[in-house]
Amino acid sequence: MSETLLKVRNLKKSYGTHQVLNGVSFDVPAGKIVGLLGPNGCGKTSMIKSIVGLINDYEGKILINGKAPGVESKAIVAYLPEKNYLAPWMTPKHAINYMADFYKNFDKEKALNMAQTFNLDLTQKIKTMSKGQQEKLQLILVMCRKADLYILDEPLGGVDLVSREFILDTIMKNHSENSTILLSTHLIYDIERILDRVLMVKGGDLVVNTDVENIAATGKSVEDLFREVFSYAV
Amino acid sequence: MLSKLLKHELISTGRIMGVLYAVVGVLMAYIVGSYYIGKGSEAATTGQMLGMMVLLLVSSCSFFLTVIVMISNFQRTLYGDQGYLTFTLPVKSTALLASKIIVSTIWFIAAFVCLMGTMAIMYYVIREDYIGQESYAMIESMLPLLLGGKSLATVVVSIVVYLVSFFIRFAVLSIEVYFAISLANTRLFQKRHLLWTIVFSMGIIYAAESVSTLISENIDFGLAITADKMTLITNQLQVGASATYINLITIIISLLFGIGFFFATHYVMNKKVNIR
Repeated sequence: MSETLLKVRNLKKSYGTHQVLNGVSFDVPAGKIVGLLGPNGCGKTSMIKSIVGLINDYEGKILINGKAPGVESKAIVAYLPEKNYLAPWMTPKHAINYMADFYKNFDKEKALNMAQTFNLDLTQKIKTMSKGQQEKLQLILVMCRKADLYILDEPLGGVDLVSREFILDTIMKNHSENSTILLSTHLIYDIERILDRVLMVKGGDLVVNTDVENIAATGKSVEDLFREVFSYAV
Repeated sequence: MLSKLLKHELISTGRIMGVLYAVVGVLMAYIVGSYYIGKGSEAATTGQMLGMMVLLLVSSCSFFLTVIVMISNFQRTLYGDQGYLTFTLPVKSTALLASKIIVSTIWFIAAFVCLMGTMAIMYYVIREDYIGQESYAMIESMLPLLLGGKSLATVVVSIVVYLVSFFIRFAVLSIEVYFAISLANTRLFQKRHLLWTIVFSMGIIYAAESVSTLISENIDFGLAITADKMTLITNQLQVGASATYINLITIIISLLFGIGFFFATHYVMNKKVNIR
């Protein structure tokens, strides 16, 4: 595996006349936990969707482990979107079997055990589950893959403080060894303690790209820097 | 991976279509069973009559239901929220598209078999009890015209050619509708994608049919089936009065349209659609 797991060069994306990414370039080293930070609407999700292969009409270059987004990259990237992407008629058991069928690196036994630990009924239809239960299930499906790169888009959005702790613990305990995590959020306080590196996106531009220890060396926290960059109280 | 995609596509669509054909199966079994049990009785029972009516209704609706399920499943699993899962699977998008087309063709074939089964029950089992003596007599008189005088081999081959052309048409119809759905999900039309799906589907099917008709009217290429042989014909004037003519050019045009729309859908899906 190359030392740089994710390489993004001059990434541009527009929706009609509205430019959302203005030529963003950065590298994500293997084995690090990277925070992709910025307020809502700054281009984080468009960037992530380009990386995971949901957006293809971008300009620039994306390389994941040396390969452009495609079948090979999708096999090593575990992606948690903001949305519930499971069919409402599915049950957790069916969803787990589905993932096991398509991903060689999916640990089915671990998923079944985690579902039991999280008190999920394996036969309950997803449409009858609460939002919290659906989020737990999707987190299980993502974290039970032995992926090289986990891309988590706003995993803490819209959940209470206790749930945030639970989600972060689940991520930290279950991601595979030496894997990389790219975690997008606008809730800095909760994730500051786990980050190795931060990328801050403002109006489609990458304005900060540095290690957390560099920020700490200036006597600031990530939250302080975020507040400074975006000029509002977090 | 195609086999896994097919498996999950069948599970997903089978929840509705499977139930429909289970109902059809039960109804068929009931009608045939009750007919043979009460064979001595003169008139059909109310239950048989009711069963036959429901069977006819379900069979004739099965094509329509297949189209609805096919459109809604394609929209939901690719361009709706479920697209976030489908498009991040480590599978080629050609395989994704192929699985959708194969499964919808399977359901079209099932609808066709269902309709044929219903007609067979009407003809062989229920006979004049339901369809009336005049209709029954008319069907009986038509059969020798279609089959009479031809050898078994030519009858079998012509049935196979007809069925294959039928199923190719179903598959191509699926691809045309999938292309329409994909176009309707591009940025310009995405907000009213359902309306545009209907507009594009009708437009594409009409245009494809018109082109196909235009070409087949000007190019003769087909099979002439006589009592004992089949001949490839390049001029319809060569077809004798007693021979049955199967137009192969429409099958070839359908295939070409199918291939064209497959790659066009693949292009739009990959290059022009952003999952919302």
